[in-house]
Amino acid sequence: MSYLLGTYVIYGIAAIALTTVLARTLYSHGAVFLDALFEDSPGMAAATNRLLVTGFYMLNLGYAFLLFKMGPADTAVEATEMLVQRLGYLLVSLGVIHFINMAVFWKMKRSGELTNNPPVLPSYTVATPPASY
Amino acid sequence: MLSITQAERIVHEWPPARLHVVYDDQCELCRRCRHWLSTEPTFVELRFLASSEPEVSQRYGNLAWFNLELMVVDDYGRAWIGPQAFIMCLWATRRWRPMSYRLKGTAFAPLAERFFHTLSANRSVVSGMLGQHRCETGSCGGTS
Repeated sequence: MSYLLGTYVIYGIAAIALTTVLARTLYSHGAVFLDALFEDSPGMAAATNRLLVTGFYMLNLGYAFLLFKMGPADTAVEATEMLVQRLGYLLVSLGVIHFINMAVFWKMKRSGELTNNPPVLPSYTVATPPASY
Repeated sequence: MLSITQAERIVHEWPPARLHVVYDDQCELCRRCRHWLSTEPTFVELRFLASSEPEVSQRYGNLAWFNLELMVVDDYGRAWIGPQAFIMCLWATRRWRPMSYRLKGTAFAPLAERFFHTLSANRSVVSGMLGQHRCETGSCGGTS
């Protein structure tokens, strides 16, 4: 039983630390991306970034807590195995969510391009059109 | 001739908020396309300039492609010619904007370009098929 408690503590610390580190990475690098996307409204970029990171925290921590309960660990080996397995689940799910997040960024960038710039650049400069005729 | 640099985009409003479509109003196909385009909901304001109007031909008559290729001009005189003008017309519409990007994509671009060139070159024939009442030849002075 004493092994289980130690495992829980380590798992809890590792889960929160991992989520925080990844969320911070997402936040700082996502900011650059979103700034480019919302050039004309920096407030919008910051808000979107914060909302995305909040969602990331909720999903990851929620999942980490759901994984929390472990079976009996009578020996140190069993406890270690369980801990490593849980951390593995957690990391894989963090990775999946992280890539989904990046896909969201990418899609937002695509749709941003779609509504703004023409697909082709003008090839000539000619006289300006008549105001009326 | 001037290629658009990053600097020029900053100097003038980009993307353009209004486009002027210089089309051949002696060609039945072009008139029908213009009519269709004028009924489409658009993101940017569209103005149609008939190439036979004196104001228009005075201004653009000296261009080599005048009355041969479709031309789209913005408020600052930046011009798209031929296939690129067709793509800009699609880009202006709400419904066909996604298509305009796809036509520009690598897979479709050469095909679309050839299609628009063929359409432009043979517009008198197509107009003839559409049945034009105001002239017998079907081309109706498209070469004016």
